[in-house]
Amino acid sequence: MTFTRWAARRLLLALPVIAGITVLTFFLIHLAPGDPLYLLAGDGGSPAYYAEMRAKFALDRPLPEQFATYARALVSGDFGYSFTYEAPVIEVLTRYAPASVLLGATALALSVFGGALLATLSVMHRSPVLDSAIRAGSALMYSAPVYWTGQVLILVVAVKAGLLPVGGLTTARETLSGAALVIDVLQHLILPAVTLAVPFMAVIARVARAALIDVMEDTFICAARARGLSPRQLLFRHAWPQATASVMTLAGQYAPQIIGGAAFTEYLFGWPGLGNVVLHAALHRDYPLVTSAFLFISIAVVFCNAAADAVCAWLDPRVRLA
Amino acid sequence: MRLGAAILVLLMAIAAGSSWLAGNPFSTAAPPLLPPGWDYPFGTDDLGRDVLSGVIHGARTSLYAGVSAATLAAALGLLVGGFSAIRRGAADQVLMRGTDFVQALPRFLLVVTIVSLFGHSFALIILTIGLTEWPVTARLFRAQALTTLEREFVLAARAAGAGNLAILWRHVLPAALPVMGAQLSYHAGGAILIESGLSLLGLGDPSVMSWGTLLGGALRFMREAWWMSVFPGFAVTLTVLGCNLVAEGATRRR
Repeated sequence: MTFTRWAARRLLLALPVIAGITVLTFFLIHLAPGDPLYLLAGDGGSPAYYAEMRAKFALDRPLPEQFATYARALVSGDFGYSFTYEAPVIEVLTRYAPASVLLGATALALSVFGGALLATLSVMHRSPVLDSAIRAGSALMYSAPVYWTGQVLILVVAVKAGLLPVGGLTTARETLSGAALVIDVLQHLILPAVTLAVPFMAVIARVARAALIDVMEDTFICAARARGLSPRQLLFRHAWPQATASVMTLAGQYAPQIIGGAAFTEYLFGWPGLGNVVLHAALHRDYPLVTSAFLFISIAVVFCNAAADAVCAWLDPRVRLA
Repeated sequence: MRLGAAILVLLMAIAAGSSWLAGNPFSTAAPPLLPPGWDYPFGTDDLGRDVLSGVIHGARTSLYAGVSAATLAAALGLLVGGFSAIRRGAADQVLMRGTDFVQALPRFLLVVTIVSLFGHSFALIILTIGLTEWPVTARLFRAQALTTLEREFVLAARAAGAGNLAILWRHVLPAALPVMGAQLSYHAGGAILIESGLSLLGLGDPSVMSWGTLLGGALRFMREAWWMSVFPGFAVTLTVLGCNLVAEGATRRR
């Protein structure tokens, strides 16, 4: 199968999942105690507004028709209105998404490189001490909740040592531009990105280590060794390309769970991203924002998964046959 | 494995004896923001509550959350995986696509959404975690069941007149027990992380003392009172580490 056809099929497979997420959100809104009107239109409007919204969401019509209305609104980009942010939900989401993407991508890159490095060290040196140290360390990194590692990092690096800023995206008191702004944002990015990357780095390290050990026992490695390749060449030229696919698949599968971690990280560091928006909305009963953000982020995750699979299939043609 | 089991046993002992070991964790009798010392080994918080007492009572909440959510998730996983493997065909396809779907959901966000729509109750939080954690277990059990069902002794059991349920219970489940035990332990760790996290954010059940509640309270006093964050956080990490170590040990011995 060619790559384009494979990718098109993979995207098609994502559609039922997206439909399922929409149905789930719709049912949650209708199952929740109270009038679904307030969950769809928000808390704090005037009677005239509610009358208009009741008509707009076809709430006096049968359920299937209500769902059709709801889905139509979503497709046209109408995710409702947020009273706590005093803006349409879609505007709030697009305003805060870039900061989340910046944090998530940095953390992902950090954890992939860090995890790959740990796995390589662990496999290359074959030193039992280093290997056990890395394994114990990764068990600890994997178990510590991000909301605690974050607090400890703030406490040690920002509060006690004063090396990096405690939180936020930029320094609030100064107006910076150009290179100074970039440096300022990067300084603010380090701690939250490390916090978010820690558990994922551990997961990648373990999976990559297992995959590498597995590949190193393969016969083609034995053949390459017989041809006189150095251990370094064996590892980087032969073993790693094979192990990359399992790391990529894992990265895709882990994406939904990294979002929970991102929400805590943003909350701890006051990072102006989607995670913070969702938590703010949940705490202030901004229902349209909560449900729409859930929908929006879930759909984004589905596409991330598809993208991770596509990278896998592109790297390793065998995946396309499965 | 042994270390993990030791951690969990210690924790269970603390949880079981929590009301005997420590006083009311909500009592505000002590001076506020006292650093760790002889009378209050873990210090006190901004309202003069004993942090040690909170940590001890939090153990009970965490274990309760972990065990009940994990049991629910494991039971659902066994049910879906087992049914899928026995039935094959269309039922298998439908169930496995459903499993994919649940696995693709951002679990934490779903829990936050449900809690905000339906209210902050402990039971609801557990239920939501349990209802979303089962996919990996279902998949593993299905795979295990499919290989076991191919074996001759299953054919012999069928010839002897054993039904599907009997075969699952007597032959497939025992073979899958180590893997399922590991899953149970992983689920417990995951559930504890989510429950504490929700409480930290103020989305948990306010009537229950939880490690997350303590960590959430610590946020505003990072500069003044490190002990409010360090001890409860260490408790969460240790517990989850215990769960993960037990899970790993259970699968490696196989």
